[in-house]
Amino acid sequence: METLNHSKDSLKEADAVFVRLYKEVFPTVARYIAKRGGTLDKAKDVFQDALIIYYEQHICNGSVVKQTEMAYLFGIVKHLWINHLKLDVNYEPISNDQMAAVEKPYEEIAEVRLTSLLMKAGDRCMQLLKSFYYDKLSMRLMAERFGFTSERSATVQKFKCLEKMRGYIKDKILQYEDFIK
Amino acid sequence: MRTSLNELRKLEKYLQKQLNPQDQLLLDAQLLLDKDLKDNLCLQQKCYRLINAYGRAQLRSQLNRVEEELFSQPVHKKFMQQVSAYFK
Repeated sequence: METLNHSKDSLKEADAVFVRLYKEVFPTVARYIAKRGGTLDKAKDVFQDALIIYYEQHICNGSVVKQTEMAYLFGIVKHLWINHLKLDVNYEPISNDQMAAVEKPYEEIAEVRLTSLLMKAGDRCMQLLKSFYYDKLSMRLMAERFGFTSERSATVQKFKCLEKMRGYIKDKILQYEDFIK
Repeated sequence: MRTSLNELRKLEKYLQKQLNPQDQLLLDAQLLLDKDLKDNLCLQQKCYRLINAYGRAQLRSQLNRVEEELFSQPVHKKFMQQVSAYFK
């Protein structure tokens, strides 16, 4: 299975992986959801959610799924669709791997507010923190991608960015407390 | 690394349960006694949640872009037609 982040110039490669997954898996998903009375837009939404779950559970850390990629992704889609409908009719059990993938809390935070809050920490800092904590890039790749001379300097910068972010959140909380007193 | 960065590293290891048992116990005790340290731990946890949410928002933007391309570019016409046919 290709890994998305284990190279320096990963954006185009990441797009290519997702294009492949859409082309290979989405037609099956579309047919499944159309048969169950869903719309194309709903099928797109469910598939996108499934891709996010799949990415967070496996692609970004390079772990291997036991089933084929299509079966695994489709399993997540079915689980999401069933949750959406809250029906037990035609329920098809999914494997433990798939269940574990969808049981993890799936929080969404208002995007506009989040982005404006986080960008205060600086775009480079946010990209660095996202690459390490969300994309799970190794320190070696972090050093390469962000132009650090060593893994150690990448680590130091990571913690500096985290400290900056922590300080900003603390200030925001204090400001709110002053306002409500 | 300076002291403040070392604190971040230690708290991170604590949250990931990567400290050895003695250091874990010591930090448990410090967190009970030092309010600032406990506050910093909570703030750091908030940071990780926000970074995760930011990462997910960026991924969603990327997927929206890929989807937009697949459903609008002539080079993907066959794919569009195949999928649209199921909803007629």
